[in-house]
Amino acid sequence: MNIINLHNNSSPKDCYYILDSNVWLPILGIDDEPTSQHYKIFFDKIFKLEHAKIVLCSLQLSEILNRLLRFHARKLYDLKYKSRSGSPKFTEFYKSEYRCSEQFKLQYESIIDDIEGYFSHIVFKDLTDAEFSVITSFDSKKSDFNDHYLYLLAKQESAIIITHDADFFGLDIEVGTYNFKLYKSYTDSIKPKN
Amino acid sequence: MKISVIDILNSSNASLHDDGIKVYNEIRRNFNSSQKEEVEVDFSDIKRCSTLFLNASFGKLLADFGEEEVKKYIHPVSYTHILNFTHKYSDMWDNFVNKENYQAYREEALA
Repeated sequence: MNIINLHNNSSPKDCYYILDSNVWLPILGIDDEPTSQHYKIFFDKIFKLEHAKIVLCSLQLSEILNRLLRFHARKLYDLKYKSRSGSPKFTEFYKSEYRCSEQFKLQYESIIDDIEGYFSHIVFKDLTDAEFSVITSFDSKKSDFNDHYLYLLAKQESAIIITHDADFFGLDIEVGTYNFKLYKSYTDSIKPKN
Repeated sequence: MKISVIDILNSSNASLHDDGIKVYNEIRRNFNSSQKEEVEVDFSDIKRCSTLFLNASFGKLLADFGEEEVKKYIHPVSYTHILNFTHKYSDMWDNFVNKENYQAYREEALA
């Protein structure tokens, strides 16, 4: 494992990157400033390089779309039903009303349009030869299925994962972060013991 | 006063954070609350405009000057040819104005 402290080394290389979904979401509109600011600037820098690419897989695209659409739906649900008696549950609203609505269509198209705007530096890849048992075996105390899938994809593509959280800590891949705590715990873990 | 986005970016794509910051800086150079001169931000010849760009430009202006001031003095113009511009702009505005109200949903999405 190698963790890159992006505060000290903020220039991307001509290689493949996988952005954690929490890095993608502020880029696509769910903002969490000031933390996200660093990652947006790093994202911009990838576009300045000819051969640096961001790997995106179907699973992550699905996760990002669902999170963005649900965020949007929450806002509309509030507007329509907050504090009203006899309101449908949010999940019911999402399936029966929101997904059939013009607002859903517009929001979906806007997200897709944003992603299409970055096509020059996105490559679509999925796991090719991984066995079912490998894809489905992960330590649920440390990770979830989607993160495990991204880890396997990073290994397959020799990609660097850019993340702000600890989900990818302790794995045999390169990880870039602006999270000083995460970086510190890595440097502490490789210090020789007395 | 009119500010041309394509002249600032030298590109027909307003996609990146840095693009938004460049436009924001240009507007800031030409607008201050004491002079109150109207600014038109001209999107002629811009083919694509991202949410990231809008947050870094207009979102930042909203944070600096507030909703009323931006609504009154700073207007995007010649954008109707850009796909989803109106929706993205309204969404950016709504997210800014209701930032506090949406905090729980943001946290849920980012969890």
